[in-house]
Amino acid sequence: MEDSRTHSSVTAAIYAPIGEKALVSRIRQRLEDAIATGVLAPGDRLPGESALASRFRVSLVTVREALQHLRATDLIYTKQGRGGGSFVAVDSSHAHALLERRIAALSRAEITDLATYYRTIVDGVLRTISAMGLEQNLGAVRETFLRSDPTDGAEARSVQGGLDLRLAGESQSVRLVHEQIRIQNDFGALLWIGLDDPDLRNSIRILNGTMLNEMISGDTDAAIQAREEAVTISLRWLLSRRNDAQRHERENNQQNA
Amino acid sequence: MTHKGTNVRTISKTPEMTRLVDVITAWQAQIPETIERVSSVAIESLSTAPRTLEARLEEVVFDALNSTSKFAGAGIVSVHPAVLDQSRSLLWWVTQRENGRVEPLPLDADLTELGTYQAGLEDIEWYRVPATTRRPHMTGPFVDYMCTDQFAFTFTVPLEISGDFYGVAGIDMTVRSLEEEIESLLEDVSDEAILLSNNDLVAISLDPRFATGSRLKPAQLESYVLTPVPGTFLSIAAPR
Repeated sequence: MEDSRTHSSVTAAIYAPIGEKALVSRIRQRLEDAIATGVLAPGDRLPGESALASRFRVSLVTVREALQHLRATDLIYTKQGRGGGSFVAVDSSHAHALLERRIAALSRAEITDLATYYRTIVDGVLRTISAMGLEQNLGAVRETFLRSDPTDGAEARSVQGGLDLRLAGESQSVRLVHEQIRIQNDFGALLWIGLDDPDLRNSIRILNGTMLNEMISGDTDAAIQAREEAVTISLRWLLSRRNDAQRHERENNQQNA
Repeated sequence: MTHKGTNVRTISKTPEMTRLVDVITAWQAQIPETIERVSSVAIESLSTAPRTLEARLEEVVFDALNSTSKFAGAGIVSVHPAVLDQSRSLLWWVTQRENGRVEPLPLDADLTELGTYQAGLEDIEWYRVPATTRRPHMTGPFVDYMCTDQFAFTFTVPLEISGDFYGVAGIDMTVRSLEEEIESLLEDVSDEAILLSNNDLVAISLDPRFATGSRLKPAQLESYVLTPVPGTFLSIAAPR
């Protein structure tokens, strides 16, 4: 009896590994993504080690180890003394190659699953806002959004991330906010990679505007539809980039063989 | 403050209601004086020695946060160049309880994933309303995910120097701190009583249909009688 409970799939999930050891690689991954997608630009200074440790809520040792990896792969460099610290390396082609590798490393199924999750959280956020009767609070969110004027992919991704977080916040659900932060850290930089393209950037901007207008006018379904379309066109872009990256890799392998 | 509804009546004389009103009034009694201390320190440093702003604010805020367990955070928020030249836009500290000790921590939103959130600072209610009306305001309850990750009320007042608007000074109080004090008193008034903020936002509801932070529609409000708590932005709604 006790055995069957111990081995049920539900209890298996409870006892699944927490992955303490994965902390270093997760922190490294997050910073790598930020550098690769230009959210952290060449020359940008990273927060100090102790500030990072308290933000990530991990030990100083873990932060140091993650930074050491980034230094070893020449993504950051460290200056000593006054005005010193860790800085994002200036060579952006390196970051570009890194991103290609990261995209190629994900399977198509993984990417679509992450997109499903992303979409589900925002759908839930929008439905919650309207169920709580808080649609009018989005007026201020729209003001901020309309004032933004991103001129490149990195800026547009920052606007997108800010918008999605503000929306999650308006749902008044701590858990939805945390899920939004998590999926954004795990996948946001990749999902919105298509914002590098000026045409796609423009389409997404229009869809974001539609989503906000529909929410404020009380048509939640239309708002969700606009958001899903934005995710879908970004996803399509990401998947085609992935195909390119993999073809690239195959060609390189053939040359090396 | 003004009341939107027509179904507002003056303070009811029942002892239950009087007790409830008294406790709510006492709960937020220290707010005006404490915000005044924070804002006068900010105004004084900005007018005389801007370099001392952060250190002096830290001192007065630490003192305020340690003086009572009711405050979850305090500080100033400004996008005025005079402040940004010296420091960050959010000079805010939050109460962290660790090992039974209260430790105010500077809110370092610049370093978080939420950094971009600040882009819209001026549009957020606790900043926008005092900026436009030049009067004190209470925002919320809303989930304060920049600070405490809890439902909180944010009290803000405009920071003005010779008539110019510099930003806001304010204090956060958790909904929980109020809930603990008034839950049973609210029950004494009615099994389905609701504490409303700014006349339509649910702060504490005994009726499980209404979540904290949700807004009652005018049609829903029709079935309640509202009793405002004088000197606050709160009112008690009891079914008709």
